[in-house]
Amino acid sequence: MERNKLVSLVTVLLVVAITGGAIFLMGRQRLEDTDGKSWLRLGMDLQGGVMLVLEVQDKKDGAADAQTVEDTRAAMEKRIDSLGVTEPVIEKLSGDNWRRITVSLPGVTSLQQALDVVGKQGLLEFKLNGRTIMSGPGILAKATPGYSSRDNKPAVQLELSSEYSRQFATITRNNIGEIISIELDGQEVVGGVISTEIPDGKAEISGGDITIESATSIAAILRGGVLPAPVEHKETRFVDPTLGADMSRSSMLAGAFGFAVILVYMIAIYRVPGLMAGFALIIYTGIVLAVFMLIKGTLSLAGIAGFILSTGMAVDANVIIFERIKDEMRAGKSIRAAIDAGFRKSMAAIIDGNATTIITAIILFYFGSGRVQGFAVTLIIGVLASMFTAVILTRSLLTLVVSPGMGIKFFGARR
Amino acid sequence: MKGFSFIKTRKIWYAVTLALALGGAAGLLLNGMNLGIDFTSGTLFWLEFPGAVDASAITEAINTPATADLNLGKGMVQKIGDREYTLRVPSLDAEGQEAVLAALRDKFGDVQNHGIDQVDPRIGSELTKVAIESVLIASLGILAYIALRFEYRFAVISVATLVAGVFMTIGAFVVSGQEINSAFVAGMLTLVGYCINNTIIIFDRIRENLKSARKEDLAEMTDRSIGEMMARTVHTTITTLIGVVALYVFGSTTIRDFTFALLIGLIAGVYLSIFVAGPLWYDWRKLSGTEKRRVK
Repeated sequence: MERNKLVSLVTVLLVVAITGGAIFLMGRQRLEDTDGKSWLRLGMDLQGGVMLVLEVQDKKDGAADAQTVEDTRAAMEKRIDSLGVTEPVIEKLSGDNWRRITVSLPGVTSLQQALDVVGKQGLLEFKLNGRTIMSGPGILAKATPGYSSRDNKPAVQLELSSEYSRQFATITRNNIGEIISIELDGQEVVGGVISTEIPDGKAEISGGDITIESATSIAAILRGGVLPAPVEHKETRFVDPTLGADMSRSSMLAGAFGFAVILVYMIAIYRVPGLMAGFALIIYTGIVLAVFMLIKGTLSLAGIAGFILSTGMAVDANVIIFERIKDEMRAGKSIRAAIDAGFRKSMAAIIDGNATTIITAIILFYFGSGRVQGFAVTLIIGVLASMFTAVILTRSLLTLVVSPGMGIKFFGARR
Repeated sequence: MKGFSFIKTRKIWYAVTLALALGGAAGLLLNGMNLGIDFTSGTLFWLEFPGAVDASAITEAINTPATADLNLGKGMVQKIGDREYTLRVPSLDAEGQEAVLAALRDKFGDVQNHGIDQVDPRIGSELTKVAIESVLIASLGILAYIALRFEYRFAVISVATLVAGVFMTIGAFVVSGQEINSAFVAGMLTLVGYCINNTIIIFDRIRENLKSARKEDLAEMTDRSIGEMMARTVHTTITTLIGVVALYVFGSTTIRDFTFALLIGLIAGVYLSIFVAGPLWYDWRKLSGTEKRRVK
């Protein structure tokens, strides 16, 4: 084998091995991390779930500062932890929006539960005859959802911390026959007449319209603790997970179909080089995927659209090069010389075209919000990867298959 | 394209472009755009009904005594599937959303809520600002890059055709009544990238042919440059269209808005780069008395 063919072969094999290996290893790692649920992080629109933007308001006793926002975020995170959501994202925004917190809960099927768990203040008060006797953080040692031991209806089991437990025992002993109630954010969740001393600090919220879902919400709120300041809902987005699954299926189908047709088209127009460009395009998809997994990106619909656009540009680079090679061959150059000249003379156009796209994408990423950013990220990765595959990889592949005797027919041109 | 002259027929293309862009701008001023909740704020439900229903029945059903103080107004109903509809009402909190769903379930039975988008008024106006800002800044960035890599005429013309493209796309949205949402913004930005990319490919060839030693005048050279890039433009446009059409055919409703914007942007971008950008450059170059070819 000639030396340049050998170099080309090694280049192609190396790229394929590194890309394939990276995708395999990262995908396997993620499958382990998510208990076999997914190998790629999907956005809310593709797998369903709830996305909220909340704004921290001023406290009762003063303005909110960065610490208030952080404490609020931490409390939300603790609450969500006890819901068992896979990969929730709870982030503070920056700049002008420093008071805002975005919460993404993939796979969550109940919007109401998400709104309650994240947005409720969570102030727990014990009242005797309507007068507050115990309140604030530190009352509870434990809060778990479950079923009442009395009537087997959904309930939240509360366990007071040891200090409050003693206080509670004294109060119940001295006030038999009086009315005791528990309020959450000023709303009574349970109440009744004290019939006996409660020595172990155990109480239960049950009855009324409490379902197992609301019991889970209340337990989560109590475990995460009180939000230091009230929050306001600024943006709410909810997608039913079954609908999300539909969307990701149809987008994948669109991607696969579009890809197949592009391959057929390229081969029909450019024959052998078209086939090589097709190979390069498959490797290109692998590289984009690998980089995307490496930066721990979240794939959304907008991201898929960005990918399709950059695929168009990857094909474009090859089209520009192949047309140029044909021109050079028509001008009488040998196939090797034509390929050399074709790649060399196309570079300026390809670089200028891609550079402006990258400028646009970077500006989009910088100024845009969530969805626009998703589009920009795949576009940037895609354009960079396409420069590599369309220029370096296709060239290696072409070097591998050409031999000096090949004429212009090889490029699908008539003359 | 042998024998066809883009330069000789350029006045037709200028007229067509000007008419379409001005038409778009006029439509925008007269009719306004059908702004989605991403811009106007509000609440959008994505509902599946147990059977086929009338859009007007949905509007009637949501206005009950229980929802009277929510000021729902008439709402906007759009059919998106056999039994699927989107319902748009002014911004609602969680309780308001529940109340609307309860009213619908009272009337139609098992109405399933597949999705909710709720955007607060302040977020809406911020998005508008960000959208306009990013298009402006992107244009400036591109202007600077082209001026640096080519000459200032190319830069100014690229951005000018881009502005025409933006107005043509807006015009298409006004005429078709398509909703302007964040998908539209992404589509518009795609137009920006694609239109500029196409224009640059042609300018690149003009830049190269300027240096060639052929005996031809500026008009012939411009025509030749555009002609030489025709095969490439056709193939690239077709392959990009394949991707977009696949998305449109297989994609869900949300993605259709986006593909519509892409499609219009793509067509406008190709048209402007072939028929308008090159001839404009020719005219400007001629006007400034540099018809004699000179290597930059």
